[in-house]
Amino acid sequence: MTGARRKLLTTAGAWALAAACGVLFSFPVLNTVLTSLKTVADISSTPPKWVFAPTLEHYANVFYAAGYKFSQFLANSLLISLACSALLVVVCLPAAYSIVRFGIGRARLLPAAVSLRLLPPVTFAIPFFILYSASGLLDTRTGLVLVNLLGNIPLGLLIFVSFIQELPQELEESAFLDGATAAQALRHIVFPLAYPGIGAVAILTFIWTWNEFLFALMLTINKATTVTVGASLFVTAWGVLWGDVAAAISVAVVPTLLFSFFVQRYLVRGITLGAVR
Amino acid sequence: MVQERRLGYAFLAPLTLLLLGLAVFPGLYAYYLSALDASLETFRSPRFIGLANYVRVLTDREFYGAVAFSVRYTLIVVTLELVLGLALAIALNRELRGKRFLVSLLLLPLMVSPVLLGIMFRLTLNEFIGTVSYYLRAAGFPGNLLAPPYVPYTLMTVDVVQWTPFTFLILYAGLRSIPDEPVEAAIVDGAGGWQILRFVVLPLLRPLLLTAAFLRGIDAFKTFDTIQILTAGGPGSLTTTASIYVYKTAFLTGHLGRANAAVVILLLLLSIPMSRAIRHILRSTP
Repeated sequence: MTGARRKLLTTAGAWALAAACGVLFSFPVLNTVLTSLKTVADISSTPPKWVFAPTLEHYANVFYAAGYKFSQFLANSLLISLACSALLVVVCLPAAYSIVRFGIGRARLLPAAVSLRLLPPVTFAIPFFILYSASGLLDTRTGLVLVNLLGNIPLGLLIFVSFIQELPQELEESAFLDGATAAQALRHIVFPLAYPGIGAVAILTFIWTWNEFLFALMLTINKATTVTVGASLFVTAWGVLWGDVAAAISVAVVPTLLFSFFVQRYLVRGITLGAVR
Repeated sequence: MVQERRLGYAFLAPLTLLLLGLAVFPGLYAYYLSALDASLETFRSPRFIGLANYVRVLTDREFYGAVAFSVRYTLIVVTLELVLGLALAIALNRELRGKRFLVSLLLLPLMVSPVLLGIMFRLTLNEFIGTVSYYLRAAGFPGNLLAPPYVPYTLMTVDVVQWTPFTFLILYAGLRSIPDEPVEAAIVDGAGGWQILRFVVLPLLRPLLLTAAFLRGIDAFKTFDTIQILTAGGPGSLTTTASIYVYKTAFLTGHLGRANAAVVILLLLLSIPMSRAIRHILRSTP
């Protein structure tokens, strides 16, 4: 076999593998979106219909039909995820600055944060359930914000630490020479330079909090229910209404798909350090 | 500078308080709970029962079944995800038509919440309306992959679909950062494709392969979301993972104390891989 032919064959093989996996990996999402646009009759037709007249009735059902509280689930997820992102940045950025520039907490706090990333979430689920029951935080959005903060601290801290490490120290030093305090340096020099890092942390935290299931399942009853738990309720309570289920999860994945587009560069770091199981 | 250091402590204070309140205190409380007869009804006034919870867990056959299932699940999915992720990274580490599009297709599952991906699989594999089920049946295969004996392998497939994008992404980034010289030198020396992979590329990728293996291994062992939504650990306890065992013990049978004893035992099992993983990650990432 000549070299050129051999190269062509490997390229074809590589393309075939990537395409096959690409189809397999994206099929569940595609199938769900298609199902959400089919009428009830089209959903249960055999063989499956791939060409059909689309309908938005399931989306209307999800938002307006009596008995579903999907809009409330969405609002809960949105509020919890936004609050968690904002708080996480506020707590972790100064801490990371302190770790990098003053070396305080590098020996203990940083490994502790990494181990937090590795611990099974069930470790915390039961104590949180009891402590929340006792303190009235059970089934509240505040409760879920707190527990998701815990879950995302490793991500926030470690991304900020590696980000600040890469910033040139000279700028701050000259600011100190001009009489600036560390707080001023953080606010006027580090903060603007760290915008991309802050964006990445905020978005990744938003995504992981939005996607979180275990704590939301165990620590909510009906008031603070998030979309992930809400979508799972659709399955058990209205298992037959697959069109509505499909529409609900199609809506629920949109924010994370949109956001993750902006953080593709950070996804590896985000998952390595982040709160994903 | 003394003043600056004081400010440094102030910067760390909120995080430290948060960790004390949200991790250290609940963590210690979990140990304490494991020695109480706390149940869903009695957790406000529990009795101290020493090691009785541990005895109950360690004599429970379902606990061993759950740990065994988690171990088997972990070994299989991590192997598959590393091999497939590496194969995809190698396949895409060249000029390909439509490469950007292929990569975004491959990364899609990474952006989807595990629970939602689980529901999507439920829909796709549904016995009656699932498209994949229909074609499987039409081709003469069993139509219901969510029933035994296939269901454990279906769950592993879901995990592979969800997380191979991650191993792919890590290894792809690694491959692209490998310098050309060692590979070219090997080609000059007459090495074939497999030899280059075995003796040049794999050694260079070793730290990343280890990171991926550690993270996926530990994360796969604690899998909860996808399995809870697809089978809830059933039928019976066929697909009960360690995490689902804890959940069932705590919230379905109501034994909060006993579930915590199981958590403590699991942490003990995980402590060695976890400490090795922490050392590896701290050395290689930031």
